[in-house]
Amino acid sequence: MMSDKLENKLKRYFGFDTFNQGQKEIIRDVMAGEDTLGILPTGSGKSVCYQLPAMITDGITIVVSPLVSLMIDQVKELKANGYKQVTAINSFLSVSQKKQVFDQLSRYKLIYLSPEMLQNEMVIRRLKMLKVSFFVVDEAHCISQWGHEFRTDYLKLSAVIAELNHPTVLALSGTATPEVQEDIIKQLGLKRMKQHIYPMDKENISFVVERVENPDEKLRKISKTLQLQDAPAMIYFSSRNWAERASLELSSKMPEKRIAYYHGGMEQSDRLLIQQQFMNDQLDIICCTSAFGMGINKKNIRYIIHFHLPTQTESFIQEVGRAGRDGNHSISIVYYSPTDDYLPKKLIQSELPEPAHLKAVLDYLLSLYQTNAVLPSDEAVQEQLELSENQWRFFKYHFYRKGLLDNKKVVFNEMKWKEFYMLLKEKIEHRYYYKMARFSELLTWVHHRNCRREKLYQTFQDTVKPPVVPCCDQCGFHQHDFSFGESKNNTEQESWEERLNKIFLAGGQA
Amino acid sequence: MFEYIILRCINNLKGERSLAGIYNLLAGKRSSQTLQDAYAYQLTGFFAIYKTLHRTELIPFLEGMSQSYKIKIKNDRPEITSYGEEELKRLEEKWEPLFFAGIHIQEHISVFEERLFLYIQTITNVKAGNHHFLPVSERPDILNWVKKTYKRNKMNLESHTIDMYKELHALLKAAHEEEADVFSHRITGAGRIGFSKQQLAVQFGLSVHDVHLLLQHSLHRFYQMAATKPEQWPALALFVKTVDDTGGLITNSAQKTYKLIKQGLDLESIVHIRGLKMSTIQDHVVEMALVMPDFPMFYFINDKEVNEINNTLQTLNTNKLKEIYDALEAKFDYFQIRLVQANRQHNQSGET
Repeated sequence: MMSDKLENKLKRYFGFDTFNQGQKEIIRDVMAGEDTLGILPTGSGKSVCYQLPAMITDGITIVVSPLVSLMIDQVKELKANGYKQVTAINSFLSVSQKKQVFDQLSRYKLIYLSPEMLQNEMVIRRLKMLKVSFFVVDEAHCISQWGHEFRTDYLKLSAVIAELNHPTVLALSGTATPEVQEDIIKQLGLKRMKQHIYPMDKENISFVVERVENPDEKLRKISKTLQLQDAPAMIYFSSRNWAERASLELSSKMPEKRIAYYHGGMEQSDRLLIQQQFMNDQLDIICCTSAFGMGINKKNIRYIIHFHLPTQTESFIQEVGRAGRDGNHSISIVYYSPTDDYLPKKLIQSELPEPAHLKAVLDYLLSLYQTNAVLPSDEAVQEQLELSENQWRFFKYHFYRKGLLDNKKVVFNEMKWKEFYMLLKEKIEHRYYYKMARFSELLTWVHHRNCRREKLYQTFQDTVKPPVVPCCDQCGFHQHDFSFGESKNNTEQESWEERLNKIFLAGGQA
Repeated sequence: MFEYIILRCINNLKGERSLAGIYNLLAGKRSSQTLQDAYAYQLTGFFAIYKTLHRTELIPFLEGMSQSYKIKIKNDRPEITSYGEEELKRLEEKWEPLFFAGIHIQEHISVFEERLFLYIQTITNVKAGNHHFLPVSERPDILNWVKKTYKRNKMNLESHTIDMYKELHALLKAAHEEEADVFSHRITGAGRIGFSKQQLAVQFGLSVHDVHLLLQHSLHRFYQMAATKPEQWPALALFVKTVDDTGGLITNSAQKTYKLIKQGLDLESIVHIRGLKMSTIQDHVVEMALVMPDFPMFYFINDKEVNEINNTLQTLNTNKLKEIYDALEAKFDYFQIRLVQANRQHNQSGET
């Protein structure tokens, strides 16, 4: 009876007839007031697991999400579909915009928050005045320092949950090893959590790794693969420079293809346009960094190509998971050349602070202490010490935890500081080795001699489903024997008058 | 167009300003020095027309011009060559008249731009029966404004859309073909997503700099048409932000200083109250003399002194402060000279 009802609501609010795997089970538990951990593969509709309960239950639902862009995308999408009682509170809002939202907080049923907003006591006070029914932790792997995107702010969530009188908690992630799953439950401080862990292997993706000598050979192979096919493709790069350069070179190799690049360094208006072009099938190939893809809901991506590898398996699985959301055959290709090891190593180094930073930061704190000054804003500190956001976040968290900082004031004790220095230095080294180990795990996969599918998901699950498409190169798949069909030439030009006419007068017909 | 604008800047600056001076002008650096230069060298139109320009992009561009003998660079100060002057003439014929009005409207352009593009996306999508689409702007103030404006006009959406089309068509028809190409392909509307600047550059064989400036030029032209003749361009006039009451001052800090002067405080007291350097407060005063009608010069300098400095300015015909200072035999300080210079520039620019 109840499930019938749920399906009706799904139809009414989202327009779908049936639930995806796992959604209904998770929604049922959450609606019954059970704290729940849901591990669902990317692209399987995680957000429905809390959006639907939020819409059909009294009280509000808080969603903590670390990705501001994803948050904004979801709010936009819900609003575009006519659901208005939703808002996002994050550092992008101006003071007056924040005030406006807080003054009308009771108007909303679904509130997205970035984790650092929960550090603000005023925010907590306001939320305590409302009836919070569900507390959702999105990207829950961020709470674990073994996960691929550790966020220190997440460690404070258990305290927030307690302060809000323990609403029903739903922790969601797309990629979490059993080790990370355990850590999520532990760090949230919840003893009994219902667990819904779904295997993340995709039956409709074929895996290929090709070894090449150099970047030029990668570009040649990519254009040979994509040139004659009618198949939307994403190509991942580890640097902005490379994404731009490859986009230009591929365009000259394949003039009949519509190719663009996307990365975090572009003007906002251009980024929005490129993203929408890709969604709207106005682009065939997008050359991007990991900044692209969050919240991209394009169903018919046929190729995910890695020109460069990410720094670990979780990221790789997440990126590959953007292919074939329509359930049709899709292909993942990694082009690997021996010199590639260098780039992820550099990335890992930029994410982590170095021991030299540690000394500089402690000197800085000491000078604050001596002048009796309070800690300035995060941006100011980062600029002064030339640290990345991640690096400073890491330090700040440990300073507060070990009592070197208390409410923006420095607490000095020579013995304690010396101990702290040794401890943190060791910790940094550990994390570096840990991350390097995770990277070499992915490299092991690249060099693996047996089935790639089994090996890729091995740390996440015991078995893989038999694929409904050719499995992988090791299992006998030859990507060049295969084609998604002849490509069309879509690059015809319009004059300015034709374009203006079609936009304004023809009602959108091509 | 980028090359024309750079050559025009170098020509007008007469070798008296460095590369940084050109950069600050185009990027719209909010300093009194940059503002005063814009007036002194008749470059006010170009102020802040390229806010996203990087200094590192300007350097190789100037070097390229130097290598092709259009300019020479002495002590970091570019000067136009006689070959450059010929080139400038040729480019002038191609591009002029240009309608940039940076110093007067630059702060309204980005709002005008975002409103215009989001509004076109909205009405053409709705007209095509598509009520769900992802907006091309994310600024909450823009989204709200477009929502409100759309609601006010949705009763006669059909004729409203046609009016918008007619106005844009007429304005683009009168523009360079390149400009019409770039602008029309930047628009997002029913079934078509607009091009990024880089894509426009590739599509029309232009540089990204030119694409940026062509777009800016359309916006500057449309804005001024709509602001000055709203009855002739009623559809575009929708997007013109009603003027605020900053008194024309560009920097916020200068506005605060102005309020204190109006209360009758002298400069020393203002230095004390605001906790700023005297030179900063003097910069603010110079900015006021530059942009404000009826600026009370007599607060700071008497008529006789003004005349004396004015005469020297006229005879020397330079904007180099040191030369002027020396010619006046150190009778006046730099602040007084700059003030008179600013007042003179204000009067010459014909503003009221």
